[in-house]
Amino acid sequence: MERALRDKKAILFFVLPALIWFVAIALLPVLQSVRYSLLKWDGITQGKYVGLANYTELLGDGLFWNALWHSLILAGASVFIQLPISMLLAMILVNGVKGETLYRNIFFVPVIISSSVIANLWMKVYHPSYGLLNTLLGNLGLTAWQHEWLGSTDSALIACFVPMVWQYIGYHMLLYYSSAKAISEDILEAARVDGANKRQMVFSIIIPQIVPMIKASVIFAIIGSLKSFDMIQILTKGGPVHASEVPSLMMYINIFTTRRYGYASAIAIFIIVECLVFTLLVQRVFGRWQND
Amino acid sequence: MKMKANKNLLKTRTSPVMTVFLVLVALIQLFPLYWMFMFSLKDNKEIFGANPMGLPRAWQWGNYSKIFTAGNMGLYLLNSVIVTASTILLTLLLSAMATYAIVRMKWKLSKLVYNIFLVGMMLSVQAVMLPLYINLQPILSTHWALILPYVAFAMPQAILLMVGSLEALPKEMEEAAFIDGANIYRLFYVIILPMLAPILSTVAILTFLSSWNEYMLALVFISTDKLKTVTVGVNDMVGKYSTKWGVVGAGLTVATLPTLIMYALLSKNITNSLAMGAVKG
Amino acid sequence: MKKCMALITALVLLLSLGLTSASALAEEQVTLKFWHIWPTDRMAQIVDDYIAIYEAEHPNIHIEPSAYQEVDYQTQKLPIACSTKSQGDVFFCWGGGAAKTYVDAGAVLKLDDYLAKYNVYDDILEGTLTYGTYDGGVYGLPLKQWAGVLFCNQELFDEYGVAIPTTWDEMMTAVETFRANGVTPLVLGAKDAWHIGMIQNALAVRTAGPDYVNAALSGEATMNTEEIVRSAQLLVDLNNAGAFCNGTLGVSSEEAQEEFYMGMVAMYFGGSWCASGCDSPDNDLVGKVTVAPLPVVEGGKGDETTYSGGVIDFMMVNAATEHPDEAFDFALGMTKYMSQECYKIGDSLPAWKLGEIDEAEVSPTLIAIKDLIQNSTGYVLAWDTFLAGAAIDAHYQALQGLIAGTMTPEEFAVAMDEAVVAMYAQD
Repeated sequence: MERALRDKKAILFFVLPALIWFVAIALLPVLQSVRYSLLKWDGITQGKYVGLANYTELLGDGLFWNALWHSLILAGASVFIQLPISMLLAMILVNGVKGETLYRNIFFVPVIISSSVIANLWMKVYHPSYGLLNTLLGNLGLTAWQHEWLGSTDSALIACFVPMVWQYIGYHMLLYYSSAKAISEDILEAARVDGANKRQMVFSIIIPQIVPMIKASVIFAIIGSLKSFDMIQILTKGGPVHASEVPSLMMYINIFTTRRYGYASAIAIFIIVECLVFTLLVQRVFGRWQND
Repeated sequence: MKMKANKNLLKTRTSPVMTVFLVLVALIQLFPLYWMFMFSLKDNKEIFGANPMGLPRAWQWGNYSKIFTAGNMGLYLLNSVIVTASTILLTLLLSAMATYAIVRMKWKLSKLVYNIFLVGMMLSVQAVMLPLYINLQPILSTHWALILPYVAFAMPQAILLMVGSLEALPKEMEEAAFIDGANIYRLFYVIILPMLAPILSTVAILTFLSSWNEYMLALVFISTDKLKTVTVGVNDMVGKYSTKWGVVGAGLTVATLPTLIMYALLSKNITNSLAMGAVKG
Repeated sequence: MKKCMALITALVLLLSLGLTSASALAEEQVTLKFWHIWPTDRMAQIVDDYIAIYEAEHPNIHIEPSAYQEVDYQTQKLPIACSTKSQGDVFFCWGGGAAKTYVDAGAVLKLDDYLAKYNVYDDILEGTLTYGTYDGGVYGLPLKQWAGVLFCNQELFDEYGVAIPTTWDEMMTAVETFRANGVTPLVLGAKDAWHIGMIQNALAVRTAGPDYVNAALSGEATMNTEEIVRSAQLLVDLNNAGAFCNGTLGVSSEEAQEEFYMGMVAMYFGGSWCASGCDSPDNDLVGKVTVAPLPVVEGGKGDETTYSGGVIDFMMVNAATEHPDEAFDFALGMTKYMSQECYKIGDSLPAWKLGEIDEAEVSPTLIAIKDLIQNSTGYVLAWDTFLAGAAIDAHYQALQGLIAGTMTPEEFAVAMDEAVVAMYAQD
């Protein structure tokens, strides 16, 4: 058996198809992008080598830092608002309620529906004159609270984040729920014998048991936030006046509107490195936590 | 007997407050589905201002017949099915094979290869679209133009979930099979794939969602009307200067139906398998 | 093992599916790929009709059309395709700044020899080739013209006793009257910056005159002048007077425009393409729309015979096509046919001398526009189609800045000047 598991031919047979496919289709273009990021290029005509100029420009670009800051706020909101809500819902369901499976399936529905539908729905929620939100506030007599949600620079960013955070609550809920469901019955019984109440069960038994899944979901949430694009593209196009811009959107505009492909590639590489750094950081933080 | 092993971690009655809360959350989560369906049955006047949220005042069932007569919706759906089904099949097969080699087989580079796949999680489609378009030039007028990148972009997540899952599974069955003289290829198909079945259905639905809803590559890489997928087909109905939005809504609803069905079929397995994968991940 | 076999069978099937689509052609047969932007409705019908006509006349030529949603086609699909010259043999594209990169990259066929051979100059309206011409060579066949005009809901004007404005003072009075009565005076979906540009660009024609604006957009004169500042100031004045709907910066052009078609908004400064919407039985406006030139501005250099608009829609031929002769022949026929048919359905003004047309067939609002512009003396394209690359984004940001109040009209002029200077400095 040992020999079979060290069989070079078998290893190649199993790993090569996926590896070649992945490297050729997904990784090679990234390497090409690294090269493009060293060019002053419109993506069509002949490019010109400019060294690291795109990167130095990027680091000195106030708009980029502005966009980056927005994506970090989103990542923060995702980790500290979205995930706790997901956790709350998961723990409620795990503790056993009537219709548990039905709720679980229903809570997941927004994840299934494409982001463009969700974005269009929220455009109707936010519409300044006939939108659901302002109508509701009007009916409640709270006309002072009515607002141009997507149209004013002070609220556009938050207005974009609400649906983004909301849409994936069900996704993270499902991750927590299913891993909690897989906790071995022995552990739970032992706790019950010790007379643990519901709150103690959740905080001292279940959550510590699903730390690996929490780690995975934090990584998913952060990477998703740093790469976020389509919802904002539909809701505000990054506006008004950059108020809701994020790095991916900046990259998109640089590819397709301003046709600065080299600069856009530099942003792309930045996002990839940024995601890697955050992934390592999260691993570290959780590693320490798990060791304690 | 409370001590007896129970499916629920703590068996308690659901308080009325809790029920109200859960029903409220459920209604919010179902709202997009309701809204999309109502949207598809209205005309522009109701959608823009007169009645954006409520039940249609005049039910425009004609919107549905329009998408099937005017557009090539049937054909686009078929293309989406071909592309998505191939993507799922290939992603499952290739990822499961790689996972097996990474988790069970003994070689020096396995950790490195695993990490290479994980980098894939960080890529975004817009960033690699142009080089990919140039590289895929010879196959651009085929379904492969979409299947190749969809599979490549689905594999990292698939491998991440499968590796966690396989690590959690006991090795006894494999050992027994080896003793019976099975070779490693046969063992993979007979033992490993069936053991991974729950996680395979999770990966299937996540892959389904991402490739079924994909728009940008589908727009840029497919240049024949015959090969268009459903996302592009629906978006075609959005004119720059005038659009019948209800018909677009009908297209969106029809495009969402398969996703709902797919989820309904696989949702049971998702719960079982995500758990196994992640706890060890 | 069964599962394994099933998998393999499925894979083989899929492989063969993919491969069969690249089919072989008989020798003398020519297939032309035609990329356009009209996937649905009457425009799609016009395209299909002509393809049928053309294929019947040329049995050896097969046209393979593919249609895409316009905005995504222009912004995403075409730029990527042109990087490898793999766009259609015949393809729709904006002239002006949009096609410049493609021409520079050698992706577009130069048409001068063909134009001479087919005597095209006899049939074409004067001045329609300007924005399909690069470095003295013609690269596109003009498809249609547009003009920016003020669409007025006559019913609302009558109801509140407002006269169609001809001067800017009258315009502001009209705005105030409608606002005082709770009617949104003017359509604007400022989330789409091009929609703001429609109004500001037309105002610049009024304040600075078409010749100057064209020179400035070509980099031959400065954008930073009092007149350009004034065009921005007038837009800001409108905004401050409450001319636009609430929260316009969060409202898309579609959402805003729909309110006009529903009869809720008094005026819409839009392109002539809006005529089809005004005359559509789906909307509430049939017979209620009066068109007028944008009101004149006191002391401005552009009078009421000058317009925003021109020819920006072109049919082009791929430089890499294997059949340039057939491709041009088809492009020419399609262009002429569409020019005429699009006029009939109220989509656009023709760019070609038309044959006999029964005016009863034509959209009445479009006829009104055609009458209006008969004696026009000058046009300026929408700036976002004249300019290219980073200058377009700079324009959009500056326009939104005006509405959001984060940019003054003076800063607007400076920003535009910098953007245009930078754009021409690149060459």
